[in-house]
Amino acid sequence: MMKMQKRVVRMGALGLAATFALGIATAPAFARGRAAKVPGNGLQVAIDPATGKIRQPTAAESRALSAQVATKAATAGPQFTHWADGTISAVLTEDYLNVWLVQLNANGSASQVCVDGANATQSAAPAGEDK
Amino acid sequence: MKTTTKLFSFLALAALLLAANVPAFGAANIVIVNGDGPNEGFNDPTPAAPVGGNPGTTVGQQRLIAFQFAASVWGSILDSAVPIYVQASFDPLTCTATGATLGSAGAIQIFSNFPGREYDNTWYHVALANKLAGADLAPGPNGTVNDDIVARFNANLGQPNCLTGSGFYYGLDANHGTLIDLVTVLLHEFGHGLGFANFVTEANGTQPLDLTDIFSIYTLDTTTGKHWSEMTSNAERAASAINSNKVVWDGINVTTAAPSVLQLGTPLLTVNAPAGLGPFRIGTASFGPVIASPGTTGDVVQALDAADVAGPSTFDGCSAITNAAAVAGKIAMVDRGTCGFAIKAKNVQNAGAIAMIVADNAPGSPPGGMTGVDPTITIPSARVTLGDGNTLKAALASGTVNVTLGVNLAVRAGADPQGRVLLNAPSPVVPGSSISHWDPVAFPNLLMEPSINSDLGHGVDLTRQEMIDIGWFSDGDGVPDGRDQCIGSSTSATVVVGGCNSGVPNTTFATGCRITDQINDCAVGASNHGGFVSCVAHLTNNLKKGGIISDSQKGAIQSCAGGASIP
Repeated sequence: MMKMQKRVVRMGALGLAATFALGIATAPAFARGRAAKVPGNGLQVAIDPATGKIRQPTAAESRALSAQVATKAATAGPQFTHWADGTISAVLTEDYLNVWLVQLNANGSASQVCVDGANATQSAAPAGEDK
Repeated sequence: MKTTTKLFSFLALAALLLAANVPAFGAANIVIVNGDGPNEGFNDPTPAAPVGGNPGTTVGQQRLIAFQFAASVWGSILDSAVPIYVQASFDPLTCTATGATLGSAGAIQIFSNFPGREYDNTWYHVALANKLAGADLAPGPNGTVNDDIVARFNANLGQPNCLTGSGFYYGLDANHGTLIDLVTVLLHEFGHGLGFANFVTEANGTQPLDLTDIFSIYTLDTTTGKHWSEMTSNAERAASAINSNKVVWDGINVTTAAPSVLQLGTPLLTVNAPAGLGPFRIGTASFGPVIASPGTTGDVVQALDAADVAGPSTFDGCSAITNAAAVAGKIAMVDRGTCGFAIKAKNVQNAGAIAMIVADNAPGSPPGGMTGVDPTITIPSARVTLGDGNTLKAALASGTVNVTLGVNLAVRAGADPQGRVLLNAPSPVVPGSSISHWDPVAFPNLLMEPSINSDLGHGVDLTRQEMIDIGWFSDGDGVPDGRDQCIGSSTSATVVVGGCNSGVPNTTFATGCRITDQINDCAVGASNHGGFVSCVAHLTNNLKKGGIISDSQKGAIQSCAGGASIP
């Protein structure tokens, strides 16, 4: 499934014209190898100690979980490239990924809420309020 | 002529499909790129019994099959000649016994001003940009930023000290019980990566490079009458993001399909007196009877109770109601707070109330739902925002307030009165949840609501029409698909009828329809050849009158129609 050959074609068509970045001093990496895998944020869930059921983490639990993340990719913002044919591209940061929060309601049902990567650890999903 | 018959069949089918605005052609190859190393994630050799139609015999196999299943659902209903690469892995993400990072997903790159686009200066998700360009705009090795969608999930979920007792359900039948249905989550996440998301930071309205995106093109604020792409300041978008009930998707395909998906009837609190108030959106309760039509009508009375250990306010309804004589036979209003919603409902019910309104105790909209369990509650309950509650209280201070808790049968659940599907616009804003999801009031529940509802199957409902609106089936006629009434128009430069080339330019109208689309309509509507020819004659006469074609061109089309074996 290597796409290297297609890349050669593409860059030939573009003439490898000058690329530049806005906001960040480097052009898009188009990195090679698995080391360049895009970092992700994540869904967070909690198990209610009283019921053993899945629920959305409380704000405190969410903060605690986040604090355990050993490393977190830099979120300096997307890197932009302007191509010779007028195309503009950007590699998104983890802030733009979609993240799930899950909550078990008092009636035993589970609610899941999708937020973005930039705010997943601060979001309080408005589901399952019983009072 | 078999060939002609076959052509007609195709034309008729195409015309029927166009009439329904649901292209049936095409497919996309969505490739799962296994990013896991030996013995981990997709390669986990732990034995597993086949479950829910998933025949895998190891945990790793079942994970991969679930991913491939979700990919095949989307691949079967999208249209792209360019493979879509999903960079997928199961990793030991952060988790504890009571909380975990489950996973994440999204588009890896975005593109603007690429060849084949429908809109200039507009960001597109890379997979859609590739489809429109007809080429891989981010070529390169897999496992890098040159893939199209990234999806990472927690490999340890359900194991000791990692949400023990929980876990993903890898079955393909949605019979997930109390587990987390991986396929449904994947369908939702892939939907975001394929195009159901904007790139706006809703909290402040900013956009990458200050360029709009394809999702914002069809995001309409009905208060200002502006699409998000037309807003000239970040502040406008930030304000719109919290304009509950007033932000809709206005792409033609979603709007056309909405009546076949969304149920009629939106829960509302209608104010019968005094005039000029409401209607107010309400949150519904998991206890008591479902609010239905014609609903419950009555005068509103604020229920009073003791300020005691159960609740510090005389309006919180947490203790026995002290003005039961006034409440009996009326709709009791109490404030949210301290005790459970179900407790309040039981207290006002015991006082003889016929329904309950809970006024929120903090700003925010729309009003949330009310959970709780009490099978003895027999009266309906509704929750209104702090602002709407204050409005009702102010009206009560001036006289009688008569309301109906019911459903508006003229408005579909999840649409505005004009039939446009609502986008999620809660206040305060929930970045990533706001706007880039359908409003959770939608019913039946939709895949791209901000919450996965347990009753979802493995379909993509209105999300497919959203994909059509943003260009996944672009016919390249110059009219963006979200405004195009005839997606899939013939690309022929001239009008061809039953294999006969008239040589007449195949004009494209502002609606996105072409002359051939109108002739196809004649083919579908005609019961015999004479009817078809008559319809084409009528059509071409009108085109000539309109100055679209000349007299000789009219004759050429009519000649082709007369000679065609249609029907």
